[in-house]
Amino acid sequence: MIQKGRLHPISIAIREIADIFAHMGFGIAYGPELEDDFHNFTGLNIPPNHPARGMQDTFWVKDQRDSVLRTHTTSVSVRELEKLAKSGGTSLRRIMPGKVFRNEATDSTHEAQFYQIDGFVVGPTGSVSLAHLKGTLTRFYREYLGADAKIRFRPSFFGFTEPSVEVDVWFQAPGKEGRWLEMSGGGMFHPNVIRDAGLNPKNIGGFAFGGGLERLLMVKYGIPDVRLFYSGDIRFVYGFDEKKLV
Amino acid sequence: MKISRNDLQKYFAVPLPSTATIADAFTFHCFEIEEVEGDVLDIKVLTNRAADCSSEAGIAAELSAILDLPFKNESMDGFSDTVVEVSLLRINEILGASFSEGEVEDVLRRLHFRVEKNGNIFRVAAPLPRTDIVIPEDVAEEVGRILGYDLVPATELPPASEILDQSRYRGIERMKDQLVEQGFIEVSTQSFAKNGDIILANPLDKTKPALRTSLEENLHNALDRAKQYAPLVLPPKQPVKLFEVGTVFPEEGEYLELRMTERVKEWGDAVGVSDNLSVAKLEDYGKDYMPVQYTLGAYKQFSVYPFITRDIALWVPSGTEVSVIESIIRENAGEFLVRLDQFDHFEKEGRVSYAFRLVFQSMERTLTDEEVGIIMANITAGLSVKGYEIR
Repeated sequence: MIQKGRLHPISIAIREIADIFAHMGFGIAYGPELEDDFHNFTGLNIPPNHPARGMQDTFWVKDQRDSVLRTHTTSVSVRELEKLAKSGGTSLRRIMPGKVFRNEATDSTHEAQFYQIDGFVVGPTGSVSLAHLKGTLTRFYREYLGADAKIRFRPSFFGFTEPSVEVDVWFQAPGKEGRWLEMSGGGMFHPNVIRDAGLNPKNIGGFAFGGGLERLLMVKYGIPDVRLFYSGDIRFVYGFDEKKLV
Repeated sequence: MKISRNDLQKYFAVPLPSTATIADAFTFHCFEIEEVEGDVLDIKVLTNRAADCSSEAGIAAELSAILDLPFKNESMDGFSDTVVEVSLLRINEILGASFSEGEVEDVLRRLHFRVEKNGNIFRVAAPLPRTDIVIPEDVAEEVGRILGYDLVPATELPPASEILDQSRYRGIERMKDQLVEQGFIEVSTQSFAKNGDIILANPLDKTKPALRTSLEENLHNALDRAKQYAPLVLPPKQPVKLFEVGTVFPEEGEYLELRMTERVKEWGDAVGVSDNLSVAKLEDYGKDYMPVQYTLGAYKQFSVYPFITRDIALWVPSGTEVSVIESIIRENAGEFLVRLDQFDHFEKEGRVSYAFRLVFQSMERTLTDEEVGIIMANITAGLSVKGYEIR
């Protein structure tokens, strides 16, 4: 008899994460990996020559000045906010899983391509706050990593959010000491992002967050090298005991 | 930017706390500290604060605000022309906190902002070197970080008002579940390729300057390697079939490709080995589908050394449990047996023949045929003692 095959651990993780966020009312959105400058940068309040552009090591397309490999799935937020503006809606919750690209030398903890899960919530002004970001991420990390997980915010800067925070997660891997790990970034959408998407920042606002997916899996399962994920190697896919949940 | 506790002390009349306390003060209220060496802090100044924090004096001013310590020999250059108007209510709306008017005023005082009150509205101007205080959200950030984000509560969102839309995702995952049911293994490969229609201006790997136009080549290479490693992860008669779902970048525009290493017989003759999921109607297909959920155990790293397979077949009396035979094999095989599969059996004249495949591998070195031969001799001896006849 032929056995069942296997899913890649990234697929399994996205399913688990999608399910946790579904219970908090988040839909899932996708967008192109080859992005235009507006959706990857300018529409995120990162205009040309803005210092935040230098923070991201971008792959540019030859002879196409307007084309980049997206450096974050935050680009999809801009597209979703534009759709919201067209539909005349005032509230939206989305997560955006997808591949992103950074021109960085690769080693056991850096890959030039990796998955990111970004998310955002917008609603009528005053209805969505930084405290909601903290509540949402606290619930997410507790459900995904275990009830002992907790989070803390540190000040940061991203351009498309204000205020901006780094999100550290306290995680204790089985048999190891607990520690704080930098897991994602987030903050309140900068009013310029809301405005550039065609919405009125006086009436609508919200939070955004995002982080690498492989890092989360590496911590959760003790995976030693990020390059294993895109090696196309079935020994990696079968490197876990798998249990189907019914 | 590197700065020592002593450098900072010059700006204060009162003694500063320990270097560790200063490092924590910066970490949780302003900037990340990349490294602490002795009493020297390596501070990662955020790009929006380059204007005022590129100097020792700027960093010291920030520390004075965080720790609320008086700054020695203050010299002010005046205030920004940008006056930001913000209410206490708005600050608390942004942060989701319930800070008091006194707390906010205290933060602005510590930062040396010029503040005028106009009813409920604070009219705020930052000291001149600071160029980053322009909108109400900037003031809210100052309040949040100086008082500390640990004071911002974790508040759950209210129930969502709009309808949950995960239909496209569920459609994609339903395709994957179907393939897994048919014995296909999902792999994920690199988006960069030797040749393609989209060429990067600044490739990381100069031998792969393009974006893949199809998953075919990567999947073909993955299959070659999967066949080589199959004995480590699959039972002997399991065919090796792979699939990938990934974005490809042909000249006419990117799309999400599904590709298999062979056709799915159950899907009929009309279905090929690849599909364009960007045009497939996956929203309808996924609308009411709940993707299968799995839990995974801790990752077990595979050995990078070659493995050796051996088959063994034996006659046992009818009614002999396979698990009994397997435990005899394991007892005699030792630590290098990494996989054991029973793959064949037939019955004849009151006896049953079983065949097993054994896979040997070390985490530390390449095993030799000789040592595996010795292990197999031990296993054979252990089975013979039980009266089983090795074929």
